[in-house]
Amino acid sequence: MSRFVALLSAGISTGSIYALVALGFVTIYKATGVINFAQGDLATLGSYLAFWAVSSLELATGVAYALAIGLMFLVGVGLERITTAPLRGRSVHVVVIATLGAGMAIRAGLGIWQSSRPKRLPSPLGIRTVGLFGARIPYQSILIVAVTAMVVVALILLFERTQFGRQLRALATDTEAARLQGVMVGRMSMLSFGIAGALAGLAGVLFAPVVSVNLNLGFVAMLNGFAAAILGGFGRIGGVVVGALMIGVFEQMAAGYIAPQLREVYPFALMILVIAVRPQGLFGSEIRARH
Amino acid sequence: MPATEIVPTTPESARSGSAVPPAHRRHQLRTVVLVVAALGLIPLRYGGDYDLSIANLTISYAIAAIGFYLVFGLSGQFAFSHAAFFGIGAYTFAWAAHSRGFWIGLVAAVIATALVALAFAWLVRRASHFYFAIATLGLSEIALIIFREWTSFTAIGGEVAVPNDPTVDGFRFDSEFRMFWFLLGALVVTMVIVVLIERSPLRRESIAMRDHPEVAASLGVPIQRVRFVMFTLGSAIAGFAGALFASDQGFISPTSFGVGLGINIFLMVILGGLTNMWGAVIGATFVVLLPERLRSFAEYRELIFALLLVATILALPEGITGLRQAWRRITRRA
Amino acid sequence: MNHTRGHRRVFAAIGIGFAMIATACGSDGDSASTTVAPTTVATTAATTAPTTADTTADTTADTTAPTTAETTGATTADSATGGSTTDGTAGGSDLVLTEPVKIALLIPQTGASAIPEVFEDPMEMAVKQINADGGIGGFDVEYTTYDTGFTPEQGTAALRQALKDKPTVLMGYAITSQVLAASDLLNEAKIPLIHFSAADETNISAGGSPWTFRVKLQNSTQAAASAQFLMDELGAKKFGIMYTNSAYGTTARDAAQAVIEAGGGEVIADRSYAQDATDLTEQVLAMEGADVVLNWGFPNTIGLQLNQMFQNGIDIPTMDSDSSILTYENQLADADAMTKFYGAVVCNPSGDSRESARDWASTFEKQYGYNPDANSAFTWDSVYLYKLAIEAAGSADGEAIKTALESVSWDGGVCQTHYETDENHNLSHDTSIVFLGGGKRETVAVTKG
Repeated sequence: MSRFVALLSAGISTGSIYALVALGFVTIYKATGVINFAQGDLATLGSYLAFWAVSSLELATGVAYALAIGLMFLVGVGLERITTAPLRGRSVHVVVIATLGAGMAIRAGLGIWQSSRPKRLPSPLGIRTVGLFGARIPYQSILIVAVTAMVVVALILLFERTQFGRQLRALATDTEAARLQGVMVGRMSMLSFGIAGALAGLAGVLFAPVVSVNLNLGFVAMLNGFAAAILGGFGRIGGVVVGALMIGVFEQMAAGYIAPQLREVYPFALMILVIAVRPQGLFGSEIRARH
Repeated sequence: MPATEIVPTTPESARSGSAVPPAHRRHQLRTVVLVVAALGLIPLRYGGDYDLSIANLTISYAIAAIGFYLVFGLSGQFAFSHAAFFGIGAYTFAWAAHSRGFWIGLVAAVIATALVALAFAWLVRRASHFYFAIATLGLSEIALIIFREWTSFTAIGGEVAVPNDPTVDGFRFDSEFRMFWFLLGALVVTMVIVVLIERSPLRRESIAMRDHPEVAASLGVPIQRVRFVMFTLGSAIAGFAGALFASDQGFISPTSFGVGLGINIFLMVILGGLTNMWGAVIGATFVVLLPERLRSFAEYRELIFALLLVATILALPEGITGLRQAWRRITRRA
Repeated sequence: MNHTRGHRRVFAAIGIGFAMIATACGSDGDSASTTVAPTTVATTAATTAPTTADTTADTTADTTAPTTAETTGATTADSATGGSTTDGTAGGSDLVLTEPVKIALLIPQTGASAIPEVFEDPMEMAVKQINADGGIGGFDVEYTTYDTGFTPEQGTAALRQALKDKPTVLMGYAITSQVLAASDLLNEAKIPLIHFSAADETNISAGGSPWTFRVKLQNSTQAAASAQFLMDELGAKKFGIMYTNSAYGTTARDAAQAVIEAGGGEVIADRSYAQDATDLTEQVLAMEGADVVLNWGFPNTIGLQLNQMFQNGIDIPTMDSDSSILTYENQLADADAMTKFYGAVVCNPSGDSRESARDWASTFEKQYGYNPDANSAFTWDSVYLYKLAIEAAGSADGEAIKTALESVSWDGGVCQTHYETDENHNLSHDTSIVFLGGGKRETVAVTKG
């Protein structure tokens, strides 16, 4: 029982990180139709900025986290200006490759700025744990899940209740019609990248105390985030979150009860199976091809 | 909540030139022969082992990229699985050539890759665009772990020595110089196959399917079959390239077939240009050669490469072969 | 649109493209090579502009006559800081060469887990020291760094580039697959390579190139030594083994298991994980019930293992591989999680029992700002091993240097106390067991291999 609870909680906590990364993709996708392949590297950058704020600026961890997330919003906007704005109207593939290139540049630049030595980002909660059904749950896991839950609620409100959300929905449904209705496509694109940047920064600062600040931090989370976004159907926030949690928990459970050495296979195997059976994802609506 | 729509966006650069009737494409074969013959003269002047080995690596990747031109350029399938198929080709080759020699190994590599590709294409046949892209990314991750873990097929950690040089009638292509010629021959074979495909109705059907699937389907184009055929053919070419890569390198490890290679193959085709298979060759040259040329920048090499990459994409969104359209626009204006 | 003309243009574009390759490939000496003169302020090979570097190298080669190096006659292998003694292989002190010794350093400079400075800094420091003492054979030693990346093909490209520059000796290659992939090339080039990879697969008896020499500990030796220590010193009977899912991890597991079973212990669980694993809950929970844990991994996963063991209340000693020093130095695990943390390493200079090694470590730390680990120490020693070999060989000929390296027996290093080449060309044999925690990096035992 305690083993089951421990695996479940680890699954939910890594799943939450995947969810944060996946929500970044989805936000950008809705506004622009592009998948941002630099999303993982943005998370990495966020963790480095927080580390820098703690170690060089000597800020308190909470302040450093907030600063990093704020800066990441700006980085997101900057990324949009560099990779997406100049290529508006071009094929989506070209934009995707531009984001990939930007991600490579971020990673390489970080290696030069902070060296490739792994670092530790302190968590305000340390590595203490709380007992639950005989298992020990790290406070950091609870923090990750709680913050993710709050962010998800905030995003749902943002998407459903605000002008921004309405415009985003209009864009996702029909770009041309939205433009004719007066939606500022460029501004929406910038804002969505900014939000995705902040989400990635948040994922970075929450994840780094668990796994250390290193240049690969975001990459693995990004791949799993993709799987989560696909599983959830790429549109609905709730679907994506459920997809991410499923990926996280399934990964742990299959590793715990089937074959641990194939652990990295599970998220992708699950995703491919879902695509085979339900090509629109578990919670996606019917795909309508449009030209 | 709005309905999610996955919109297959067509690489518009690929649209240009798609309407050329087959009769005007007659000279492609001659071009292939001329270019490759010209390339063959290079080592007579510059025959250093380093230069040749880089050229050989370029050719292996170029062949894979030409395969990817079929998958992505012609039929618009957004796939990251090419590196996995390249790897499957390499490992199958290593396994089969070990006991049965080079040629059996090569054939086995192509067949195995084609079968896996076909099975995968069938499995995700209903996935569209980004869903398909991310499924292929997943396949690529799974393949890596299989190379590492299936040690009876590969070796511990997936690290396998591949001592099998190509042999024709007792003549061994055992030096970099000889391998260069062999790979050049393989490049010609690949290009001829692609030229033949481009002359067949398959090209027209692929383009129709890529650009206007509903229209194509209503006109009786067997969309699903065309998609399978192009994906399988392109991936089998990747397997072919992987086998050649394994033979040329003499040693393979899973690290060579990671997502990084999948991304690089993408870069090759996008940077080179999607209009024709030459884009893939030029792109491969760019992606292999540029980092080599940047060696003296040491730690800064990766960063400079990434920045140059982004700059190239921003300046030439249609790829390097897109330069000629740009040039034509300029000259026309003048 | 006229397609035929279009293809002609493409043809032209390709022609130009390949002409560019051809010219680019044909031009020689584009890598930075630096002669570090004794008085020069630290400049790394990496940052020197190609053109300047070439001039430097050429000038040295062309104009410095062997006789101008006045200190040649007095040169011994003694270094001011290392307190080295030539032992057995000395006797080349009046060696006169016709050109400078060129060392090619093959290491990953780019890539997410590249930490080039731990090799480049000691390289620079050793070369400076040797040159301050008169160089080798009347010339200042030169070195050039080549980026090997992490894949076999990148490694081979780096080696070919290095060979084009005609080095006297080769050094580096921290990745096993790269050493293996280079076998044929090394056999053809006939230039010795002192490599930094651990895996047993590079052994000559396993088909590795006879031109390779290993300065790092052989993986199985190190794993066996650490298992032995845990049994003898900590009285462990029940072992949990964790390892990264590569040849490196698997070999270590097998070697440790053999020792454990021979000593009457048992392995109650063994678990592999990916090199970039971000969670080890399952693996760590499987270790429950063991007396000790042996973990063969990399810095991040070792940090993860320690933290998660602590969090899950698994309070038993753990012994980790080489990377444990990096985990400790970068505090990747919480201080509370590092109370029973041991590392099995090639050496631990700052915690060594020899004063010469400790002095070297503190000089290094003053100069470069970090406490050197085994990587830096054996890089330094490798430079001196080459110096000894070249002087013993009496020439810069690859074959002669190889023969001299095969009979090395040397006590002057800062990493291992004694270097001696065995039939598999392993130079190092002793495993240092280091206790890491409480602000200390203390060597608690040295196991003779």
